[in-house]
Amino acid sequence: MYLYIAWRQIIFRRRQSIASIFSIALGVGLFIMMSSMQQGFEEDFTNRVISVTPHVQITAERVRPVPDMGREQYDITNVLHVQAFDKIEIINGAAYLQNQLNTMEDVVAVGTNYTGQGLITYGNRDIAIVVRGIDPEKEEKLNGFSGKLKLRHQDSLNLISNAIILGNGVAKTLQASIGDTVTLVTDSGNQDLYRVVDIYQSGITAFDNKTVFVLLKNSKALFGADGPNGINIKIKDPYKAEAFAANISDMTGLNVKNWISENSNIRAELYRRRWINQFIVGTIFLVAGFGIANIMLMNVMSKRRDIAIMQAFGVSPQSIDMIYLIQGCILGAFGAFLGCLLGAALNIGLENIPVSFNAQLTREGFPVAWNSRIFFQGYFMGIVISIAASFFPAKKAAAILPAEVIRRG
Amino acid sequence: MDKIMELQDVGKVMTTGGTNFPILSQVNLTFYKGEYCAIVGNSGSGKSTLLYLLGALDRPTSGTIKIDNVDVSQMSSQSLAKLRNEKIGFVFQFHYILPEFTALENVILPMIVAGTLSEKKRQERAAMLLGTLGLSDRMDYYPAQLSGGQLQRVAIARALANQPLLVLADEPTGNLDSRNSELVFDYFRKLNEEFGQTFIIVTHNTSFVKDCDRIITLADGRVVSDAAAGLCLRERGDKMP
Repeated sequence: MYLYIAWRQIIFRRRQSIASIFSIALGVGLFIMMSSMQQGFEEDFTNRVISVTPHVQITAERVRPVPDMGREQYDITNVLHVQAFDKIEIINGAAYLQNQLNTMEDVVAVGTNYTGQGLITYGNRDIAIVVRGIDPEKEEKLNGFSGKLKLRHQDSLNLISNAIILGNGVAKTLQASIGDTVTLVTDSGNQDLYRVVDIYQSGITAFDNKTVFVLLKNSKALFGADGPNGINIKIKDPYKAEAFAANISDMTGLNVKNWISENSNIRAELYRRRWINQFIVGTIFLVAGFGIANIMLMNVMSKRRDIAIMQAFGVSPQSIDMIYLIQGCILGAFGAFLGCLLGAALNIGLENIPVSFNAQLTREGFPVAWNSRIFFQGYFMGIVISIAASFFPAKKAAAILPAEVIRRG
Repeated sequence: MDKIMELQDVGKVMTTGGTNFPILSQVNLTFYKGEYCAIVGNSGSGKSTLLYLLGALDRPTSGTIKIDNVDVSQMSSQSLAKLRNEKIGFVFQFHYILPEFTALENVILPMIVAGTLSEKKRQERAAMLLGTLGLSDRMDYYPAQLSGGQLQRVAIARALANQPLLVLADEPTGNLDSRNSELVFDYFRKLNEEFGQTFIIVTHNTSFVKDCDRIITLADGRVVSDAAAGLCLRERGDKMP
């Protein structure tokens, strides 16, 4: 009965019903768009960060001293001199560690590298850069290395001896292009000639302006190291990187970095932005809610006589209350459904607006995350808001005293 | 005769802006099954208020009202709604037909609320009632397509939907021309005789009052006379200039 009466009233008051449905749809649609965009930005950021920063990175730096066997075995209590000496830091037993990591369940890929500071010169230009010595095959597994190369050739570093891949920014500053020969100089004075085989572009300017890639064996030779100074690890769930890193650090005594802590300031900014977005969406919903409440209240006020007569022929105040709540529910359900369609349309629109996010990377449209959870949330919130909005008008309707209304005619 | 309603020392006080206005006081009345009764009196004498109390649309400030031997003065609003649905039919000066529903649906609504008849039975009964009131060809019309007199007849059919013990009418012809008024009263009488329902009608229409079995006269919130029609009119004639 409730549904029957509620439905007929909605159909009859077509214009008001459509206005209510549209305001809910607008709220839900904007919610979906804002949330999808926000999540899209976060995912885009995360993907880009993960594409250049390993999930977890073991460095050669010690955070815990090597257990001093002497102290325990020979009861030596005094160390007279701690002598500093210039030694190239490497990860000892890297091969063993790599094997161990490969057996761990959370680990997807492991790759060793030797990264050092240096200078690159081409013609009369030189810039300070970071030289990364990598194993292209493992790097491919770690972060899809070749996808960020101009020529997209996976094995270009192995094609010729002394091959080098320049970061996009490095190449631009040097005005060097593929096929040119550049000179690498290390901080200790070693130098060698390299031929540019490809250009690398991750989309993160700070990275692309400072990094060049060579083979691991080349960088070890260049820097005079007999082992890698970094092990990069890709894990199944990148969001567990912090715990995983802490665990490895405990096991090895080495400083283990993870992408989450390394980018905590940017993530905090994203988090703040998420809150701002939620606040904006909340305001939209609030306005939509008030709009509906207003329409419903006007509806109730103009239907005082009808409500009075319904009470006269036996509809209880509780049922009247119910009829109006159901109306809110129906309007909410339709509005939220329409809102989902609107949200999808807005998302498609956003994806196709050409925008430039930074000087180096132009992409087609905003990054938008298509997440069914966002749609469900929007739908659910739309219904909740319109039920909440009809709550007060429904109470008002139920409180109508039929004798009063009929007496006044 | 079966007693269907009893009022004992019923009083009603309205409060507006902190001031109390006594509308009815010391009303003692008993109604019997099948009575055809008019309530008359000047405006402001409390006729309508009395009718709302009789119909359990309003609660008395003092005294008790028994409908079908049940005291309704202390009932919850939910039980009162059920009671109105099952035992009372209202016809007001304004028709109060719901604009969203057709004539037939308006008559069916109280039966849906009662929930006792099947959909087919409800349709049949509503059609029968509208037929009795001469509206067989207007059943599927929306209120906006019907005239005032037709709407009032739909309202009468709706009041009779659940075969109420008691039909209460408040100036049912107040908005109608004389021809339609006559029609309405004819229907009331016919229904009273056909279905044996009790009618209590507040009216100013003297030609109708003449036709009633019993006339209750109110003045200043009190019952000043309550008698069979002929007697009552004479009394009124004696007292009124």
